[in-house]
Amino acid sequence: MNQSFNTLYKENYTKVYRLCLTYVSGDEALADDLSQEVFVKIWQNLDQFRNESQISTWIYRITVNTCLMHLRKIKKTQEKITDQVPERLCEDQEDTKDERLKMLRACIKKLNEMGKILISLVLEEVPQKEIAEAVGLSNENVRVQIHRNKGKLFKCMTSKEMQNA
Amino acid sequence: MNNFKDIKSIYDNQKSQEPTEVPKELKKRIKKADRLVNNSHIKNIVILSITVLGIVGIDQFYFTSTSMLFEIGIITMIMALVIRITIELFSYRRKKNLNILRQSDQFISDLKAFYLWRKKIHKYPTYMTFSLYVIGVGLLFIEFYKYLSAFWFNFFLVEFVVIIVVLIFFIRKKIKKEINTLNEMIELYEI
Repeated sequence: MNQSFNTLYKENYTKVYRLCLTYVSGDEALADDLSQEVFVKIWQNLDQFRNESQISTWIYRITVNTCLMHLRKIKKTQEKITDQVPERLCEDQEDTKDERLKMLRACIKKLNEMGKILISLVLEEVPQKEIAEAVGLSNENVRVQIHRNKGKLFKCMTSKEMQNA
Repeated sequence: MNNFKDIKSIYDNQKSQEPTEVPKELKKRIKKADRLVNNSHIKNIVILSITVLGIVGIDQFYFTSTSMLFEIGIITMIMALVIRITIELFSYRRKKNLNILRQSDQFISDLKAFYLWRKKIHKYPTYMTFSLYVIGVGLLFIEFYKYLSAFWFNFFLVEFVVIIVVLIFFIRKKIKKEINTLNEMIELYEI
């Protein structure tokens, strides 16, 4: 295994894992499995990276496509996971953080596939231009869809918080 | 919750570990993925090719003086296997041509097209190749009739019919399951 792949792995694993984790609504085992699959694909295609785009855009594209490729597996696993929204927010600060995160994941789960992809990338602070390049939508379309999905997410989060209040 | 920044801060607060090196499990997975034989289509092609070679070998070196009917049976069996090998080769090529580096919208269309194609080739070609193979074996039985005693001929005939019935049952079940899965996949990619 060459050094450049090792560096690539160390520098990008966390981002890839977090993207997958958001996409699969917090299923850590599945996210890890998908992340490894992403790096297998990176290894197999590394010679095709031509510096025409940033390596990060290239990796995001592989990550998104790998998740899409395993959509059935993801859906099957998610059917087993019930809506992970907690009944009430805990008093303990750490627990509250975890529960809010679960709430966020449950809300992301409700978005459509493209919405999930876009929000995952936005939360990872991927620039809009890079998102457009990775998913193959126009800049304007990406902007509109991100805005729409942020709205849905915000609405879902607020209503869940109100339920917990 | 006042704005998207609050949502972002929830996301940023999740714990995440930075890896120090490529894990052994990933190294193993990469090695496995690099091996061609791990592909299910290639495995099928290898098994079917060995079967073809076996049939040709038995025909050439074991049954040296046979009738025209026997040879037609052998050729029919080989034809069935060659058709299946060709289908597997096409499937392998199409799957290999799925380019993970394409933009996601194009990749989704490719995936959908691939599953639609698999659905198309799954049903009738499978029944066709299976029927051809069964006809081939049936023709061999006519030749066996000359050489086997009535008891052994009937024994092998009953065994053959039972195997065919069981196989039809399993193949039908498998095709049904596969078609359902493919329909599910096609629907999933209506994004």
